[in-house]
Amino acid sequence: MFLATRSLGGLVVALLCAPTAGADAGVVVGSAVAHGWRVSLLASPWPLRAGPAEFSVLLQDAATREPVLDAELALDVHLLDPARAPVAPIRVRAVRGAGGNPLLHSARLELPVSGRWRVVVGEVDASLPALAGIEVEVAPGASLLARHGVALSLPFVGLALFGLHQHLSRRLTCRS
Amino acid sequence: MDPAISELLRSGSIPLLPGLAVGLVAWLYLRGFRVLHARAPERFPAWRRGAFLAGLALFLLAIASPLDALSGLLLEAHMLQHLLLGMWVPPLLWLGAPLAPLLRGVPARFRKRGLGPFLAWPALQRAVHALLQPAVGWLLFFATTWLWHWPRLYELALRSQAWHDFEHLCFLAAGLLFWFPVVQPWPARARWPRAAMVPYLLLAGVCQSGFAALFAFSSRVFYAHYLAAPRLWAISPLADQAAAGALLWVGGSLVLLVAVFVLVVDMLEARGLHRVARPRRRPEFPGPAAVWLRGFGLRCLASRPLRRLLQGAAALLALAVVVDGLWGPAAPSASNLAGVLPWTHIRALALLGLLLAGNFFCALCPFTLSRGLAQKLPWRRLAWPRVLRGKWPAFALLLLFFWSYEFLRVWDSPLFTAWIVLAYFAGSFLCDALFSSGRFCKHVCPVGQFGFAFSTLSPLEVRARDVQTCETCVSHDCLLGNAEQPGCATDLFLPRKQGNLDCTFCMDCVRACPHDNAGLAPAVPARDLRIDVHRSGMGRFSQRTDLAALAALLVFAAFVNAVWMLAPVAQWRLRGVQDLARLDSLWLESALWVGAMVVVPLGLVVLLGRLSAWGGGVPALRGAISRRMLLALLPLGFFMWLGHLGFHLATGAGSLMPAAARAVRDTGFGLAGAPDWSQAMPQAVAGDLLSLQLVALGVGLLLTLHASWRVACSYAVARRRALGLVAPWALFAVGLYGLGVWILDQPMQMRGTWGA
Repeated sequence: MFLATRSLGGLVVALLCAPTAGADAGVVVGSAVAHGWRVSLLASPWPLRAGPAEFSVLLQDAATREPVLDAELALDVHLLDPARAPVAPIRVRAVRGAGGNPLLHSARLELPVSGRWRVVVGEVDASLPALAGIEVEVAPGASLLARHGVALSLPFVGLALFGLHQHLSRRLTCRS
Repeated sequence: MDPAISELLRSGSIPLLPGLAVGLVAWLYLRGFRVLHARAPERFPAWRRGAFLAGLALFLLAIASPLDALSGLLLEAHMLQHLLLGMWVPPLLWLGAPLAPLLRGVPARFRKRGLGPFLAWPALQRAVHALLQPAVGWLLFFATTWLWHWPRLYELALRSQAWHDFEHLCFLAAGLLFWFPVVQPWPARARWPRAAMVPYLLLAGVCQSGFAALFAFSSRVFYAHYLAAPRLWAISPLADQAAAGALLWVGGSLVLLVAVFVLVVDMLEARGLHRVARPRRRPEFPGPAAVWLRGFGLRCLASRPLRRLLQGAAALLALAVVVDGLWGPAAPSASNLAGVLPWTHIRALALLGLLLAGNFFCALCPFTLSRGLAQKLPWRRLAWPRVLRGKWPAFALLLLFFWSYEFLRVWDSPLFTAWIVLAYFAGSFLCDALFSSGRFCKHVCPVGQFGFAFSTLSPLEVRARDVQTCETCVSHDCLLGNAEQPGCATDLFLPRKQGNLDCTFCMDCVRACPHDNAGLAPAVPARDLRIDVHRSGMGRFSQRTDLAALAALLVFAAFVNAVWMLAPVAQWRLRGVQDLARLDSLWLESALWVGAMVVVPLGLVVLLGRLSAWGGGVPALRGAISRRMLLALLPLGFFMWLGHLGFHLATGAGSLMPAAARAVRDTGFGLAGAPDWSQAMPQAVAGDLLSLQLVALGVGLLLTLHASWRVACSYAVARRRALGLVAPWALFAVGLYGLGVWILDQPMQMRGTWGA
């Protein structure tokens, strides 16, 4: 019992301490080579929709393809057609390992509206030239049911199971 | 070593839900295995436990980093995941003979009443019987392998995390079905002759090799995703694909050949290997007492010096909040310890503590230190006024607190927060200086009532270990105390104590019991809400209007409090606050708020009570039913609070460090550097957080519906009557759930951060 309790406790502690994000970085939306670096931008979820999104950057040495781990990157994200909706540009820092993959610099942000967006990958020091600018198409946000259908269905699955349980229990009682 | 590889090897991210599921399975298995190993060590030797745990560990390795981190970039990493899930994990799990231990590990009551009807369901038995046919398992395994590697489906899984998870689930399920007839975990019976398993495996090996050869020798890349993916270490997509094929070939063939070898040796050497010897009878394993949390853990929890130490630490935190609240910066509140620590961190962590363990917030409450001082004063204590008995004083204070929280913006006012903490210390001191011990906790403390009410959902409770021992006890030290230890300050007599209500987890009764008959025991969450027995210090729930009112207040406050900080409502209110001088605005808003918190709930309760009593055909019991149904709503309220406060913790957790650094720097000791205020900005949260919030709210709804149903069944014998009785309350709970879903999906004010 102590072994059982300890193992469960250990796992819960490990879960609470460990990063719990999925490591899937998403789909490659573009790449570019600049100043001797190869920049690949990945986006998740795919297709991108208005709402929460995660961008990940893999920075490699263009010649050797060795991942670069010590860069400090930031993403400037802005709507290409601001006349459609007044949306302020978003600047976020991309932190290595934040998305679960230690090779990628990831940042989570909220894309407020659909449309064509441009993601500029640069160093945190804004005075340095940008490394890459990649355009992405963002679709309108999905409905709550489409985004979280599994979570929303849980109570109804539970209710159905409970109803079935009651039915089976009654049948067992009648038989006995 | 290459720094990138060493980073990958160091990384580890266990997905939350599968991780918790694995933890639960491991716990159930070990719980059941311990019993079965003691009874039949020949059938359940220790190596089986090792095999099962190794299978679980391999499963976690397959779905967690670094493999999962690389699976989107390298096909070979993804193929290794599939190989582990389909070929390595299932035989290890089956070698653990998990069926009996898992069933035995489930609590007996749930096994019999909860799972029993499903296990005895003929349709389910037939379906399982059909699925466990060797031919079915073999075909499903290869159908799964081929289908999921078809480029369209494979790309779909790479684009969507949900499909990716489903794909892995398919591999695991198909692997389990494939390996079941090979391993034949006890008590399974062979469907085919044992010898037939050799061609079964060899044929699988041939198919697997053919499939792997396709990848290893193809001259074109099958998956466009890997063509577009950035190449790591200059590995070309074709080389990556060939490596994936080789990996599958070698890894898959190896396990199949080992299985064939073991089978053949098994058949040649010992025909009677599966004839299990009659189990040797071992002494009875410890009964329910084994589940008591005894030993070192309980001694620590019940240790008075340790408790005083932790209370001292909590008191120091409270002191820091007071000092910083009184003399620190007033704005922005997120830069002040009094603006972040109590409202963003402690509240959410206390709720998590209630959910995972018990009411340890009360056990470590720093205000009991001032109470302890007051108790040392020599004069005679007064009796607590009869009119103030019950939960009405706490109800009124809670209502006042919730109102001031919103309308005086307590959460945004470090000064106000500091005064509240000071008032708490003074109030607890005065109460215990004037009246007999424990009155503050039992009747006055609003935070305590919050903890008491929601500790009905906790998995632990303080209980008498053996009621018969209590019957022989004449001193009742657990209640009255003795020369060395005080008794229960909230008047709970252990043999008749039921559940966690009014229990501060102080463990005074554990220390006072001369028979060592008190301890912490596992409790079924929310079970307390379903039964209506006479409880020590509480009476019956069905007769406690004050308790029902308190429960209703906590439940409705969970929703109203969250609605009030939705971005549109907050903006509307902000305009009102700017015109605070115009009292009519404040009064109007307050009137609306009181309507939402008190008037509407009261009207609803009356209406639902009437409908329910009419539907159940028990009009005379309207009051009792309403009181118990209100208590049954507590799980829904709890999970709404958890979803809401958990959001603030997720977005504002980082604000504590710069606020603490600023507070330390302001003391002039120069111990801390300049605070990094970027940490106090609202943190973007993963989309998964909303999923977790919705799952939590769903669990709350289910617990509420179950408790309501059991309450209804206790008043109406006929099922139709019980349905009529529960229907209005169940519909109301579903409506509250819908409201909660809508609230959680709205943009919420980032309180506790610089974005508030």
